[in-house]
Amino acid sequence: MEILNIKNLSFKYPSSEVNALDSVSLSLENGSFNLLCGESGCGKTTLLKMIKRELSPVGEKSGEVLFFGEDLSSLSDVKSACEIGYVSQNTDDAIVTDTVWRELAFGLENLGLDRDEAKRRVAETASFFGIEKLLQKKICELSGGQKQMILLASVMLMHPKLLILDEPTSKLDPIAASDFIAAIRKLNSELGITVIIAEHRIEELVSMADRVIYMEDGRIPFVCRPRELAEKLSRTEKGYVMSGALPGAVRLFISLEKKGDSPLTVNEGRIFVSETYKNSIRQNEIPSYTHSDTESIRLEEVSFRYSKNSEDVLSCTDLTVYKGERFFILGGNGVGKTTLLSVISGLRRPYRGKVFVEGKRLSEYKSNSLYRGVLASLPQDPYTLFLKSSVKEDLCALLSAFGIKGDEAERRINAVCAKMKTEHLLSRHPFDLSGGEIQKCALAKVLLTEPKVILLDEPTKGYDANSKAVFAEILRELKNDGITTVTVSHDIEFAAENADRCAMLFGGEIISPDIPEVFFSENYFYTTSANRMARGSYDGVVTVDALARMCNINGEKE
Amino acid sequence: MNLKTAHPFTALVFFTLAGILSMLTKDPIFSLTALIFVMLYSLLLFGIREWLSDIAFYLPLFLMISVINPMFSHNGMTPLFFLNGNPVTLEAVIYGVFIGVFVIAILYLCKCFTEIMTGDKILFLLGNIAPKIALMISMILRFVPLFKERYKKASDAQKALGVYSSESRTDRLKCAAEVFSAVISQSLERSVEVSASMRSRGYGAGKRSSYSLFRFTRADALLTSACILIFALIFISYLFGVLSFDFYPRISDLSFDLPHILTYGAYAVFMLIPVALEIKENLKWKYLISKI
Amino acid sequence: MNIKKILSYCMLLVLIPAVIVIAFVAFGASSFVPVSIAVALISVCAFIVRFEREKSDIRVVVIITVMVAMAILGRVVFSPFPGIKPVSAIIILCAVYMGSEAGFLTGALTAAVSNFYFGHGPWTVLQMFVWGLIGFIAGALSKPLSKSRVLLCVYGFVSGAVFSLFMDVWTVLWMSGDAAYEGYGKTVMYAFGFTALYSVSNAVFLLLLNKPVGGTLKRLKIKYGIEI
Repeated sequence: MEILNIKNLSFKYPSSEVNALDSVSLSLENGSFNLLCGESGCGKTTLLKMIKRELSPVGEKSGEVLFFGEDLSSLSDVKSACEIGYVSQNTDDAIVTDTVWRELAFGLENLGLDRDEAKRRVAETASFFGIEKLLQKKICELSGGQKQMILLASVMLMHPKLLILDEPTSKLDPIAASDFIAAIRKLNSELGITVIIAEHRIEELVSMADRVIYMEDGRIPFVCRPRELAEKLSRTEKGYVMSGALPGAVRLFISLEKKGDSPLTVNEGRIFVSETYKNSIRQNEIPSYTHSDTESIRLEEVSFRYSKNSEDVLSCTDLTVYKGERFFILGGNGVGKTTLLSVISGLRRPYRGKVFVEGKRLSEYKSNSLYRGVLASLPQDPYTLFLKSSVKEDLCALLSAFGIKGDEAERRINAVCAKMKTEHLLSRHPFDLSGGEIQKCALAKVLLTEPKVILLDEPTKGYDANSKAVFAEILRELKNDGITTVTVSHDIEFAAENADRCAMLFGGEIISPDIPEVFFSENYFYTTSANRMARGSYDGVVTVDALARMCNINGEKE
Repeated sequence: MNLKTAHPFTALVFFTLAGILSMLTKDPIFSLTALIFVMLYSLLLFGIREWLSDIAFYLPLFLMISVINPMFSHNGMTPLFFLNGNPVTLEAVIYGVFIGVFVIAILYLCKCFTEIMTGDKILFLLGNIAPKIALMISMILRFVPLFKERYKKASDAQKALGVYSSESRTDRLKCAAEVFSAVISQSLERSVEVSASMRSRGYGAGKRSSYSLFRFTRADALLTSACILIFALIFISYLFGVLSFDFYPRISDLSFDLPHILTYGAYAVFMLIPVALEIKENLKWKYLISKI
Repeated sequence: MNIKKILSYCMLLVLIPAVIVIAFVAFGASSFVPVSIAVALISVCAFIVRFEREKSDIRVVVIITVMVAMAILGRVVFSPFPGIKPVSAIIILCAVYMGSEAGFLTGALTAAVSNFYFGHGPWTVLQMFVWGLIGFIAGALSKPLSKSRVLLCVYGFVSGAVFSLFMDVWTVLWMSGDAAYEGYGKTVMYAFGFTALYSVSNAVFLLLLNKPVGGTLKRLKIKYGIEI
């Protein structure tokens, strides 16, 4: 049975010239799991919001959206609120109340449910999602993953038939994201809830979706089975860029220019490689890497803890980063990656050990001389760098704080923006920019201080493949300019492709810094999907490109 | 059960009645009783360390209040000495001490009230009579830590940009003001999404009900009626003038006849309720632990 | 302006001060404390009852809660700088751009909820009332205040002074019975420096916040068609 039918839906925002949605037609089967993918800004969010009446934006609309054959606008308030659930990526703006149980009760109170019924629903929902222990907690005590789970539970309490998810895991770390996706899968397979989910990080989702809906420029060029995705995407130009976000196995399939059904999981990919290709040449050539002799950052036996009685976040750790390096620090959730950066940037002071930046101890930098021309940091949320109502105003304010005004300021801003390709964004309000755009602006702002070292905190979190590719290019350019970058990240695939050296932070210590080819091939669990797919066939392969090259060198089996 | 674990309504009844009783009369025995029991209660509630540091705060306040009164007030029949040509009277001195006891007792009561009546409980009580305001308070309690985090992040980011030096006080104030104003604007912009989220979860779709985790138990009923009963007894004797007391022009005599003793006793019992419950609870857990 | 609105203005602006003054004259200074608490309690309750009854725009409700949360945060953030608090400025701005009712609610809720953190007492009701009143009047004067920055600052200064004086006098009266009746002048003098700093910081914050915050409120009102 059809749960949702979109017929020729077009939509135009009042401020825009072009249609955000251009005669989109789509039908969803009841109980199906649908993955909506496409580049940032292709209209995914607009489409999803058009399905949820309360969130539909104002603008010129034509076409219709039918929910169980009934037009969306003719649904009753209660039915519309209950039967279509919506979970967004901005948990902080979606959660309304201060404690978990009140948040869960919020929707039920709106429906005017009586006490016993409400109590039962909260109890059974809490146990389904495994959040009983959180019920009494305050929202501000929860982690990002827990908040997202609470939001999902509070939507599910209303017993929706259709669940809409807009990039729900883009702000979560990989473990929390997997947990969340597992919960979605359970809802679909055990309760038969129809799911439509838009997401950039689609490795796990691709293998569980029934159908993949691909969007491009406000249109839907095709809807296909996950296994057909590789072949279909490689036919469209933009789709090829998009494919960077696909699971390693699919990317490999595309790189090898294969046709037909693609493998989806790592295991399928591994079998595909070992069954299709010979492995007479096992060892990948490890590229030689020479770093500069000048030290950019040096940590000597640094220990840090937040308070006297807490545990060490950093314990007696050493680290050396050389000039012009792209250094990546990887590690699980809560191991203190961000803390490490704030220790290097002097925002927090270690209780033992020394930190050197550009050959000088941090304590030798008086007042804020460290931040003027030496070191800059890009926080995890780049929006926090902006305080004014336009990007340009913000950049000018920074320069005028440094005593640079007028033409000189104008010149510097133009130079930096040309480099970051952000000239067209200068007049925009920072909060109207997309994640990729604001990041470029933030980098431009940081570069205005003319730093020699830049610290980056999770710069690729929640980005689509295209933004990631652009960002990788920026990292390369910074390297060419001789700027050292230290990036902390969860994104091992990105690190494998773009790091000069990587290291892992574990137990308060930085472990085994080495070039990615060595670092990842020596790891067993904590490694890239390409490395895991190559296991048993080839050695020292960490990226999909390298794996495809090895396959091509070896040639197919007879 | 103690006041902390009791139903919010029970706790509210106790504190309201205690507040009314403490302001009912100028009888010094009354105020003294209140002070002793409320101090005892806060000792049990906050532990010895905080209790001592509280005394370090309240004692000077008490002394100040007691001294100020006779300096300004020159009523009373019994001058002790003259200050700048104005008489300092015995009545005013004693009245000053009384006011000190009175104010400190109320401050202690307020402190205990703040501790016991957490946001959660006040929200529950409001939820039944003023659901809209209750929801707003709940949202405010959610926003304060959220905005604090936003403020912290933005201010760290500004610091790491080197715009403001952390050594200059004016720079720090400037930075605080600028970041603060930016966080308000941002949060206001984002508030539209909050209201959208509320509507998408059915806010305004029907009549709102209110739901809570608290249960009014038999013990609550018992405790509430005991409080009201004792209050009624004291109030009746107040209406009969048992508790009338004056400091000016001459201090009334304290009398200890039967009605007085009964009223004082009843008040002591009333103020003893939270203390006794607290001790009982502590003993119970000790006993349970030794059994486990 | 309809009759109901005029009546409620009269109630707040004329009746209430009148009651307090009459009580003051008739029963002496000692009645000041209980009468003021009773009056504050009744008017705050009356206001809340009215607010609960009418249907209000959810977006306005959220904006008020955001402003209140920021006002409370302001008390925390600026705690290293004694006497410098943006609270009244935020209440006044919210009132000027969102109307009297929003102003009263912002003021009253700021007082009520911030005391969850700073401790409740009989002063809670009073603070609710006085801050609420500051907001209410700012809302009533929204036309001139939104036009002239000078007037806005003057209002901020005066309301800061009134709030500070009123709460100081009230506290002194409460803590010393009828005695300090004669010591008024002296208490006021003691608190003068602090009051002055507070009032000036109010005006400065209004100047500082008027453009970004007031601008944002104005923009939101236009963008989402919010009517007051």
